[in-house]
Amino acid sequence: MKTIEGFVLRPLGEEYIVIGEGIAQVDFNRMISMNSTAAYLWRNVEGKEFTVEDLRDLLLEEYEVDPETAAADAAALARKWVEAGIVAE
Amino acid sequence: MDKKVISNDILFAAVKDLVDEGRPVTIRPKGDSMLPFIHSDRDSVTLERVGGPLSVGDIVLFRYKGKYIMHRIYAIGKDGITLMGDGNLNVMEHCTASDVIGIVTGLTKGNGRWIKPGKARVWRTLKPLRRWLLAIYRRI
Repeated sequence: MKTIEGFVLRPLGEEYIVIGEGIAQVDFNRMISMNSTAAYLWRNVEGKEFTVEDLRDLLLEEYEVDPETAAADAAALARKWVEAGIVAE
Repeated sequence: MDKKVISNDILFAAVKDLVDEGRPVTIRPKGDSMLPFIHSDRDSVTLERVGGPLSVGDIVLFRYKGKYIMHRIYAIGKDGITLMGDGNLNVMEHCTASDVIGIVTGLTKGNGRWIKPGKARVWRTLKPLRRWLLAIYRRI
């Protein structure tokens, strides 16, 4: 999968939001928010081809988490990103 | 998608940044102070950077005593701008042009219908009757 071009991560308080920079209109009712973990993953795969396994490995590199949990979290997040339209399968 | 509540300070700081960049920003306002024009539970407003001179009847988002408020302009004078919520009976606010963050350029009703805000000339004229009009309106 690949992140869709034009979506940019911006800090919003202690969290982050992803905004389509190519789209003039910004709708806070349809905003994609990310916590610091999701934001860390996004920064590392932004603009690249990546797999769920890549996300899992990134989680394992940065956090003390067992491989099963990391794999499950990575898969759930990838699905959420695809549903949100910021990542193409 | 999950609904997330963002604190006003954080949300409006982001709104200000985006509006300053020249991008229209849509948010869901809170509170009843702009009834009957804005229903906070179902309407969204679109804010934009102030492009020209403000005029009486415009709805603007402005900073007031450390808070962010979206009300209608009632008067513009040398000493600043006087504002009042459509749903308020007599409380008015006062600010300067530099406190204004953006102007409301559109309203999306709960049914998806898009409305361009007017100047509410009739509503402003009927201010002395507002107490009764709002009471009737809230019971409908």
